[in-house]
Amino acid sequence: MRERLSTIFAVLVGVVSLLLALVFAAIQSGLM
Amino acid sequence: MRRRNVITGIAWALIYIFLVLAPLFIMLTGPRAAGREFWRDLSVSLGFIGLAMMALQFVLTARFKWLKAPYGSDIVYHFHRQISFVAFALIITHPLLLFIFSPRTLALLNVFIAPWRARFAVVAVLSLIGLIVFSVWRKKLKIDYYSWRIWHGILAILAVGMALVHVELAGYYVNTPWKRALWIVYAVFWIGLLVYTRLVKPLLLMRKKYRVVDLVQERGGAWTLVLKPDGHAGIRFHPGQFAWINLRSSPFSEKEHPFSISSSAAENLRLSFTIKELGDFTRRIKDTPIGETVYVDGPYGAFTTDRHDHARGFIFIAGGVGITPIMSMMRTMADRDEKRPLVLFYANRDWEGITFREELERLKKRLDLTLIHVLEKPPQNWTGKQGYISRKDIEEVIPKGLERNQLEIFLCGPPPMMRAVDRIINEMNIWPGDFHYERFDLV
Repeated sequence: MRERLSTIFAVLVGVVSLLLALVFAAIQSGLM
Repeated sequence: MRRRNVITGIAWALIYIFLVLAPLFIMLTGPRAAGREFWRDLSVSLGFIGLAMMALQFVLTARFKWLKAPYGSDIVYHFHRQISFVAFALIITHPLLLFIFSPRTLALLNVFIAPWRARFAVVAVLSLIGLIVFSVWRKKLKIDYYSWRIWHGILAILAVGMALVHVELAGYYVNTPWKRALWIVYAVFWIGLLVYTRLVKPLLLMRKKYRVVDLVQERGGAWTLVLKPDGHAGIRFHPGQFAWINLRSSPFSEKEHPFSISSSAAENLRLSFTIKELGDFTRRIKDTPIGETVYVDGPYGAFTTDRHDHARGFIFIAGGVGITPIMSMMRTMADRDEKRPLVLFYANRDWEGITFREELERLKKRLDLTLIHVLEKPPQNWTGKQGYISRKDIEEVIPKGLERNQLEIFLCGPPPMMRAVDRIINEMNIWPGDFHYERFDLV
């Protein structure tokens, strides 16, 4: 259970990072 | 205690996310660099986040007790392993996007003609690939534990160090004081961590030596190493915790191993570790001379009954030498005149190999302890349980309709047994917060 939570958190960090990176790139390149 | 740990645990998780994403927030400050394509900025931002994750890996493995307390050491190492794959995916996507959308950047892979910023990047990525390969396939590649630890440290330092230099030389996103300050803070913080873990901490350990004062042969091929602090007051620990012990080498070496403390927490002037002969290091424990110097780094771990004062009773499930942290808990409870009911399932191969067999019988007189031996190969005329611990066995001692926070269950044993009992406990719908274990088979 604890391992599962830890894995879920790692995946969550990855997904949030990817989303924020997309937003960042959109802002930087003038798309947003 | 439990609520505080949950709150602290959530707080650390949020701080972690913030620190991972901080580079992006800082990059958005100041004048915006114009004229760059979307995919190039996406590539760079993934690289930044991956680098922040890699730098933070050093925090996860720096053995900060305040960081590990809410989760347990094994989970922090588990997360360290899982997030390394995420970081690797993000970092490797950084050059891949560049190669896909701008094929001429492939020339940067030629380190003989490439600019220095690309050379540092290549070394960083190769180090990262080495880190992943050596860690995932260590046993298949037949890399021994000591060599792996040394190379893991070297490659990790190379990967982060080279990547930081790459960011500085690339220079595109360090063009304002704030952006430059961010990477200086990350680099200084990271170097500070290295100095602390590799220099300051070993120096502190050298000032707190222990001496071997006794070596006791136990049943089941185990030996109890009894230590006394040499010129200091010893460590205070909670029963069930573990420490890294360093025998026959300096605290600066990588030759240290984690072992559960088996002695009572009521006594901090004698520290015992019961160690089974299983590998190269443990097979030589029996040859340890009395008077030998030992360095003890600890205590660590959240696997302790002391965090559950509210519990009405405890169920312990031990397999083989997995009894050691549970022995510490029961010895401590006996010393503290504990009255709450305890059940111990103790699985072993045979009757003669039961570590602490006689002492457990004696503990039954000092504690409200129900001792249930489960033997894989029982002797003739054995009337107790045989085979492996089953769901039926556990159901017999857990009252129906058990509510949360009434009984706390502690499990410690060999990995196959841990997995089997973990599955049973999950099937029984026991509240996960009432079930505790720590794993040490991480690499």
